[in-house]
Amino acid sequence: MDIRSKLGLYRESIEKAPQHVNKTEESDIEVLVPGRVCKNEYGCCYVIENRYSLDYIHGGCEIGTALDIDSDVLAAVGGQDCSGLEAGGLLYLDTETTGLSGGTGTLAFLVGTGFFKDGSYVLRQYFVRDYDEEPAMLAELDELVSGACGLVTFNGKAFDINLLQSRFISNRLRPPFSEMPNIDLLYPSRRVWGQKLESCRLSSLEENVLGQVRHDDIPGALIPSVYFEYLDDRDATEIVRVIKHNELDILSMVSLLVRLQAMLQRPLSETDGGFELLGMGRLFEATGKMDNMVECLEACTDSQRFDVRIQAVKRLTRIYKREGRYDRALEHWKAVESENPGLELFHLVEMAKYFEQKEKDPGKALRIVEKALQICLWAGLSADRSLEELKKRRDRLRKKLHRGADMPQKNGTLHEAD
Amino acid sequence: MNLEQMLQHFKASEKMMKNITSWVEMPAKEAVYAEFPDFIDERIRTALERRGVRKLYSHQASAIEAVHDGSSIVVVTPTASGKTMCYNVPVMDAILKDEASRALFLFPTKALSQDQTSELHELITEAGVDVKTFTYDGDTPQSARRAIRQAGHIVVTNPDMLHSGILPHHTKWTKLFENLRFIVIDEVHHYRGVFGSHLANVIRRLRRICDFYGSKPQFICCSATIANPAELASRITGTDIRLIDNNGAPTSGKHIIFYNPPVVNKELGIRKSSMLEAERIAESLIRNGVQTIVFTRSRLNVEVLVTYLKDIYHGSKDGDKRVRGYRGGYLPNLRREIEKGLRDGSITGVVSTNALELGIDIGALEACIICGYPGTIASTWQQAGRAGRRSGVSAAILVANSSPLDQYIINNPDYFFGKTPENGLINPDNLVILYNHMKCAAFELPFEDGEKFGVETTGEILSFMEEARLVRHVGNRWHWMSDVFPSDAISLRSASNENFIIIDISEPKPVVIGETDRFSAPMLLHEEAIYMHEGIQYQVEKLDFDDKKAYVRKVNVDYYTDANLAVDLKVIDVFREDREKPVHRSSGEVSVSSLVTMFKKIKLHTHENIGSGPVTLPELEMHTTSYWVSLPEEIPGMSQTDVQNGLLGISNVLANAAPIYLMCDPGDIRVVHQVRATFTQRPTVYIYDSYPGGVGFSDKLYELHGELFETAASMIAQCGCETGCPSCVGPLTEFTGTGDPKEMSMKLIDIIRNAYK
Repeated sequence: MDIRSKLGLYRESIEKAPQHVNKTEESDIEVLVPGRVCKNEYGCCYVIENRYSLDYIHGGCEIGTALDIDSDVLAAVGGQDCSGLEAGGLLYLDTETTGLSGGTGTLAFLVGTGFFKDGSYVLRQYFVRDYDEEPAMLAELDELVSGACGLVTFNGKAFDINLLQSRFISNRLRPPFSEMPNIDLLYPSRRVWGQKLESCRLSSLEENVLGQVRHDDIPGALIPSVYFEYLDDRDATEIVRVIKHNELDILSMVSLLVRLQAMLQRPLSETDGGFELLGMGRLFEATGKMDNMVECLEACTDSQRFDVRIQAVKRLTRIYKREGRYDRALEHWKAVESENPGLELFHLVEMAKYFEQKEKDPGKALRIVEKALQICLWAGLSADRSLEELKKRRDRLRKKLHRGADMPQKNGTLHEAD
Repeated sequence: MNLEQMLQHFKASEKMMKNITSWVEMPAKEAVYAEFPDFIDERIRTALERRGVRKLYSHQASAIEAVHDGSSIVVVTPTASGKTMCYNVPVMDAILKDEASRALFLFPTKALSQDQTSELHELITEAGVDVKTFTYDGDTPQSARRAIRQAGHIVVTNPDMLHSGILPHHTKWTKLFENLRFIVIDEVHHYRGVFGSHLANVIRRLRRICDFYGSKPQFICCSATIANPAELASRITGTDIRLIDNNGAPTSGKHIIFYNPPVVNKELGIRKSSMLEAERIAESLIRNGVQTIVFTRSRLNVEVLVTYLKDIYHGSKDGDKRVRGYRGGYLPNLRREIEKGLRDGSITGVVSTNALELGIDIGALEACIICGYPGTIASTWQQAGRAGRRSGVSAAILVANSSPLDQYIINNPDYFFGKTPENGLINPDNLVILYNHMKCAAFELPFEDGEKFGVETTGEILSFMEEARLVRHVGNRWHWMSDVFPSDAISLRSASNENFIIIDISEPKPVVIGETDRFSAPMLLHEEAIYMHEGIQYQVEKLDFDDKKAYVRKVNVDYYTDANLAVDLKVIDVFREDREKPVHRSSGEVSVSSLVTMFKKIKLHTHENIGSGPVTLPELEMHTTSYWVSLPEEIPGMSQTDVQNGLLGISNVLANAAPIYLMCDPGDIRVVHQVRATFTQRPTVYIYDSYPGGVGFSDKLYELHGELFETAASMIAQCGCETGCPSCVGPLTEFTGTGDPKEMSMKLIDIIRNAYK
């Protein structure tokens, strides 16, 4: 019995290859998306190129403004190794792949790139019409990447660049990415919009931050199967949607970077004054710009939203405490208290600590703790951990006062506390 | 009394001696030393000297020299013979001579890899050299992984992690694969059957990746004593292997005692419980302060025995800590504490599963009691090796239970002490396993036209994969064309990826307690079946056949269930046959269709049939390999019924005799007989691998044909029962007519033996 029949017996189920539909020439990739065939020593691949003028508007900005982005901003968004980069020399990059779980067997069949050249923004996409075009595509990409000073990606550190790196190695080519700075916009975006938005995927940021809505966008999960079907029947109708999807991703990265620059330079006027501003504080904190962070947080304490104000006060006063600026901290705690903050306790606990440890006034501290305990009781927080801690604190303060009672001069305080 | 006096006491006791079937005193053996080879780096030598190692044992020196000559080797040694030096020294030496060198260590379990690397760490620290050794397994934190991939000289891992965590990401391991000099596979005898067949394919993938990066690693394997260590290692690694078996480690004098509990019911062949007998002997030893380890086969038995034995120290200070249990499922810290207690002597008795059988360092104890034959001679020696101090005497006592295999071993000490008949068998070309790993391989690197993945038919398999739309042939390469990550779906511990999972619903939160292959599911998991797991009984409440899930609940009953399997077997292909003599033997490929129609409830110990029930499940078909023997159509002096009974008896005996040679569990093979087989037209007994595609048992049985039937004959002859019992030809209730089942079976076996004399 031959091996094929045996395999047929052993295999529990075999997916049947789909029927080849009668494909017409009108659905060839070359017809649907005009481009050029690029040849090099490794073979050839298909390149699609579109030029955008600098005043082209996408995502609420002229994309040309991305040319003027400060090197400081690039460092704030991309990390230390991105300082000193020239915005005009950046290469925006995004891939579409045959799988989402990574590993060496996943092909990036479409690599989209964007860069500024000769007064326009060039959007160049490399499409692998079949597996054997991959080496030529990588060689082309290598040349392009090597000419750039840095990359801009969205989740590229964990995914796109990682995957391309694997493919270069698998094709015995030296990957051009090592040491190349990569501004991965996912990380700053999470800091800034992580609290405000349910999702920090590029499509969500596009819609909610850039105000750009996509029509008939192809869902990412379908992309691998679209490509496999294209390999089978050569009908590029659906591939066109993937190419469009990739193009928009690249454009949106430009707008997102411009948006971040505006927010970094003018946080108070360019943000919503609420969660976005808080998020900017987080971004400044991550890059060590403490003054800017304090500025953002102080502004947040005037926010319309109570939850923003509370979070801002919590983080601000942590810094003030660290810097020994208790007067500023106390002001904020008192401000929270003055607006009748419901079940919020942290400012009471902080004030109790402050009066106990800094002002050495256990009586005042005890009164505050008892107030906090009272709130717990109203709220019915009987088994809460904070309740236990408060009780411990109360008992300790009481003991302190009691010890003080043996000393005549502290009598009054004890009385007051009872 | 000390151990020596205790042994004298045993010898003087008639009650004890009448149950002892064998008492062998193994003499002490002097060490055979050899000089350090000159080429070894001075720092390693001085570090070893500081640790008290001034000379090497002969096998260590041979291993180090063979590796230096560029050979791939397998070192065969007993427990506690310093085998880790056989790989630690050459690997460290190579790294010290060329800092770029890399090595990969594979251990079958995580616990073992931790233990073995701590020894390596000590040596590295002592030598004061910079050899970075890291464990890379499921527990390795994400944050550490990057550094390990880049900088680890020695990466310690297990086959599962290599399969799903390293090979599919080989481009992140370029440093390792470009410079890989050594692959160490410890406990290579562990990789047999399904697991071994998988590992051989994982190694094929590994070698393919090494080829890509231009490295040619040598293999250093270690094995316990089996009949074919070099063959097994060579099948697993796909490389020529040099055998190093000149063990030079010293051993102390050791008593090996076989104890067979007395018969309590002669008709049924039932003996006194091995657990109670083992407990009695252990108690007398521990009471006398003899440091003792007791091995049992299940976790449950560990707990039961520990409870009994703790009574010895009842009321005394710290008594609770003097007797301990040790098994999988204990937390690492507790394990470390027990291991330390054993080394420093604060623990006098420990009861363990085979978790302590492998190389974990617990020092050497005085006495070892093995409760129930561990299933293989190799395991038995590894367990017995736990007792044995450099000076003074030690003892290992094997207490048999009433199973046929235990009874055979206990009554045939020659088999145990002679040259081992146990073969580590694998079948790397099992089509199901091979096919699965070819998927992983295609994912890792495209196949080139003409490339061979272990088999000549690689190209045909690839074009089959192309039809299944898993790969795409473009130019001269085959590219992976799927968005699935193939290694995720493939477990190295099972043959097909169509396993049934077993879910315990005794507690509010359901827990998965095990899995079983598709073909065993109807037998083991039909509704109302009693499923045994870790010595606990569960009853199957619901079997969801389509979703491959069985829901079970803990029960405590005094019976087990036995499903009636109607098997139809068709021969598809004959690989080898011998039809010269009146008795024919063959091996080949078969299609087995099995249908479970009903099950019986069998009372524990007495084996009485106490009830039955119907089973309605679909018929299953499996393709596997088989070995078969057929007898002449007419046998003088035997009626059709006699032949039927004889074949049944032979089948039952063979089911227990074959595992002796195959190092497998009785469940890994199945035996069926046909009075007039469709294929041979003669009375035929088939033994087939119970895994789709087979894992190499059948072919070996074809070769071992003669020995197999000799063993079957002595199993029947030596059984103390009258006309048949579950320990030999099977329970009498299974036979029909009036003939003597033992006699009928023997008659047929004699015909087979005489034909091949």
